[in-house]
Amino acid sequence: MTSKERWASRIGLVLAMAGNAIGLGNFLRFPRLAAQYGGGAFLIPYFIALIVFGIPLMWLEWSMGRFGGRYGHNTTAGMFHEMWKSRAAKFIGSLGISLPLLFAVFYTYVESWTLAYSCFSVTRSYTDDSPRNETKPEKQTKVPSHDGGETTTTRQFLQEYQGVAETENRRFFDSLWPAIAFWIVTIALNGWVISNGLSGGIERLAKIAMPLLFLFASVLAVRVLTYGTPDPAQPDRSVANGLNYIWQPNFSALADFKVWLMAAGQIFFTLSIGTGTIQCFASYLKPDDDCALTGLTTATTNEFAEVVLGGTIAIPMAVATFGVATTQSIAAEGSFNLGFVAMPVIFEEMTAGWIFGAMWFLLLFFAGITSSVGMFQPFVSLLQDKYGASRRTAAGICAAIMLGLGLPVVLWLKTGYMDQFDFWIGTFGLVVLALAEVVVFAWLYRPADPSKPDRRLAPGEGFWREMTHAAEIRIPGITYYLLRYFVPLALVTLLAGWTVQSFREAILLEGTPVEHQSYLWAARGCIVAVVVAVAVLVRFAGNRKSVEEESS
Amino acid sequence: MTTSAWIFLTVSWTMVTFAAGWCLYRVVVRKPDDGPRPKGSA
Repeated sequence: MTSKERWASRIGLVLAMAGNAIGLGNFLRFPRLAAQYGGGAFLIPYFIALIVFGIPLMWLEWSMGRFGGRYGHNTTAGMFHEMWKSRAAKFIGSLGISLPLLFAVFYTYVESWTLAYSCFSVTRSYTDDSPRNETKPEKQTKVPSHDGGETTTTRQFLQEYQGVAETENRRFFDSLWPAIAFWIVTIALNGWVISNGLSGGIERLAKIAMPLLFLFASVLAVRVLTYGTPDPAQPDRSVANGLNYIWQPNFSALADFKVWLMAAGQIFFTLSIGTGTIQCFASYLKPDDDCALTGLTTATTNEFAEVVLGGTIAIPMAVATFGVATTQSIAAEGSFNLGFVAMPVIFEEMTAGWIFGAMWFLLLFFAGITSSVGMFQPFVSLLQDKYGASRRTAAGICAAIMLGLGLPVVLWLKTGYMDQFDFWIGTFGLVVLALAEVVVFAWLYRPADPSKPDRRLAPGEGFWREMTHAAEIRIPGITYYLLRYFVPLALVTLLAGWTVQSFREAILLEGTPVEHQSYLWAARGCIVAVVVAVAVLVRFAGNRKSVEEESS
Repeated sequence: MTTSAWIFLTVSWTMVTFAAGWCLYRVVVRKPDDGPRPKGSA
């Protein structure tokens, strides 16, 4: 192997993998989707998706990573090439490097909002009582909202921070510089963690951030459960009603195909499947390390964070403060509104709310940074292993790429530039890569038969041997059939479903203002350019290795 | 809260808490018959 890095401990690996999986989606996206798509009934397609393709795909990615690490490959490009001797293998596999890198471009910006908001919580900047606002009482203004104006101030605060508010009547920010400053600090923090290496940086961060994340989430969950009915004059606004809102099953929703698509998409998103990061992390395992139990541990830890903690905090708190109808309209506007517009109002109305506010946003920041550092890792591994770059150089290059590619995300947020990344990378790309990896590993990978080296194993036999190798728990036999037959079909259906569902809006840009369309095409151009550039880097890495092999 | 909401909440929470707890227990506290873990192994 070219890379000598290893995980320092098994629990460190579990925490790093769980940190990679537990992200903003656990605390913002899941509760919103559950509330919006059938309440408790949403959990039916959600758990079905988890069992029939979430966990099987997660096991496949872990074992693929361990397999690649055995041959000195830390990215899916090398892994695909090792399994499928085709010129196309490396290029398809290079998606496992370019997709997480592109994911990080917009993810680090959202992550920087959480860091900024934890500071704003302490300084109580997002309220009408903030010192700055007291000096500008004449600049009171209203922003359209669907909740009777209760979130008017925090909504305007977020819009001004993001630079999407009208330039006149600004109350909180005169420019985008605070957002840019926090974004640069976030990138610098990510770069610093990466530059300290796998065990010294990513694993150490996980060992500190993950316990803190669970501590903060538990404190907030207890606070929510003891919040009761904050306004006795409005008894319908209570935590019990909030929990009822999120868990009351609406079985008629199950007849809607979109609910199943959303549940399946959430499983992908939450387990970080199809990003290439699980394979990269698992490639640093030893050849005889367990994948089955360790992988399942990270998945179940992630589910605990999502279903128990994620489902307890934001939505029940919002219902207790705003009531069901208002929470519905807030949730319909998206996850960010729930986290950055509704939650600050709630904390303001609470005793010692600034402490809980800081905890909430720090919890989101920890969830974010433990995920984003993993997104850089495949690219860092490529630079280190194939181009001989040092950790610091690789981290510096990553930071420079983030600054270069991320600046349009920061500046053009209003145009929907970031949404293009979210759709093509965060929704579409993950499924494409997952489909490619299941086809390559479960269908095309045919290693030599250990008992008869001149013969090759039948398709599907090699991947099953690899998956069950050194397993500390028995992987159910049905997983073989799920991965070979059901999962590829389900992924094609998922891709087709999303394409049909979002064809006009996301692909043809129908309904998008004409003046914004050039920005969205620029985002698409950026995505294509990065995918091609990484494929070229992978190709040259391959050539270099070939020259070395020839000379030896 | 309605009874059906309670049932969905209780079943879901119990399931994921038990699964995560069992897995973490197996990873952190290994059974004696599993034998010693190789030194430095993740």
